[in-house]
Amino acid sequence: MRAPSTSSLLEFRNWQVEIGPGARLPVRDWLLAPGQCIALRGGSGSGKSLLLRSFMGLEPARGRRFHGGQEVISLRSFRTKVQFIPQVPTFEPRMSAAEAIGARTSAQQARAASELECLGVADPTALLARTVDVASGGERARLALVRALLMEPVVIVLDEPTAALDPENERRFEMRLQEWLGEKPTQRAVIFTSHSQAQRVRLASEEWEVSLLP
Amino acid sequence: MQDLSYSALFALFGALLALAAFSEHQGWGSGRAIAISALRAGLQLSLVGFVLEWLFQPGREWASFPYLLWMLGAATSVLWGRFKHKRPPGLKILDFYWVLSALGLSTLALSLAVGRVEHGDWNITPAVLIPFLGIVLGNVLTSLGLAIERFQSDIRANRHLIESRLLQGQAVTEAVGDFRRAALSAGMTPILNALTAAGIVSLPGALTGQLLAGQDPAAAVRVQLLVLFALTGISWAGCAGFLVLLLRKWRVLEREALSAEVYR
Repeated sequence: MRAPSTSSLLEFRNWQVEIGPGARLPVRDWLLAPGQCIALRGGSGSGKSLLLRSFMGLEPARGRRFHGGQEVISLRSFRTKVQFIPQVPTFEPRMSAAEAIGARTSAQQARAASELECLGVADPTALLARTVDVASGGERARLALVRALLMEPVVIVLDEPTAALDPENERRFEMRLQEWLGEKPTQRAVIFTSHSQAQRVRLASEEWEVSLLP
Repeated sequence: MQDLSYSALFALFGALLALAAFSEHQGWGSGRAIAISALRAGLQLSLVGFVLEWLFQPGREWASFPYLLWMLGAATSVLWGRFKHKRPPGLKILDFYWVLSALGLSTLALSLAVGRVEHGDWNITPAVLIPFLGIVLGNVLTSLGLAIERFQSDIRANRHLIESRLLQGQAVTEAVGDFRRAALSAGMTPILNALTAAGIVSLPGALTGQLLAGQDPAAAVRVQLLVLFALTGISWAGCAGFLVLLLRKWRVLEREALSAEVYR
């Protein structure tokens, strides 16, 4: 067995995802280097979400996870360092948006508001004060990114993150992500899926092809 | 009412059959089920009557142990059968058996303690132990059934919320904490209802039985309270113990992952 590469940020070695007959991804190593912005490419039902969810331990998978050269033992701390934003973000019901994204102190709330503003939310303070149940799809997408940013992760994993956004806000979202990556390019990375080729070209430094085995 | 004669019992059974026939004839249905269930209960109880009469003879105390084991086994298979098609992943039939056995042992310990206080010795007769375990197992089956059903349906319905909590770094026990509370509460409902209604609406089974057998009401009330309190504690222990076991299995299975198969 090869030693895990010290230059990689995340590694999934001998990664094997099998959900049942007809839902199997080829066994391989997935290596994510610092500064990379990886786009997963593949048609609908090709297993992109499945792969991302298996990275996060939400689908049964076999293989070994490494973070910064160390094998991951606790998924709990892995999940705070690697923030995953699913296709349809979910929040604690009946909470204010601020509570639901973990902005409890006034400093956190100020940061959340400025992040939301930068993502094109017209009145971030009002959005944060409302209950999260009434937030629209586009608002939820942006709240999910802010929630992830507040966790101070090293990797952000996004599954179709801008599907609910109009083109203008989609660009804002992309720019915030690029800016975040650019702040510490030697320590951070991004993985995302997108059906939009234009978005992959705009954002990705590399693409990973994903397809289920027959 | 001290001693019910067989002829009176048969007359009652005949009346029940007539009711069943009437229900079927008038298109209400359920007549067949009433007749079959009544006959079945009659056969089972008569059989148990013979077995218990044999068991309660002096010198046959040893035979109550296989009988207790058989009761545990029967309870396990009833519980297991309830979850035939939607069993929580990772659970085996033996897990149910161990949970029920642990409860059986607590029942035994409790009966011994009560005997010690009441009579000053550690002796316990099969005539006390067997009915006591029966009433405990019957209640635990209901409680556990409700708790497990509630827990599973909540977990399935709230998959996205649970996953979202896990993704924020919560432990499995935290992420399902409110569903665990709801499941325990569902499991405790029947016995809590019984406690609330006791004496006001209903006279519970053990009390009724003793009064019908001509016992002094004050003594009957004491026994009834003992049974109710014991059932409350044992329902709690059964549901909580089972949920702990289930979560442990899931955590060991997935190393804090709680991955897709849990929700099936």
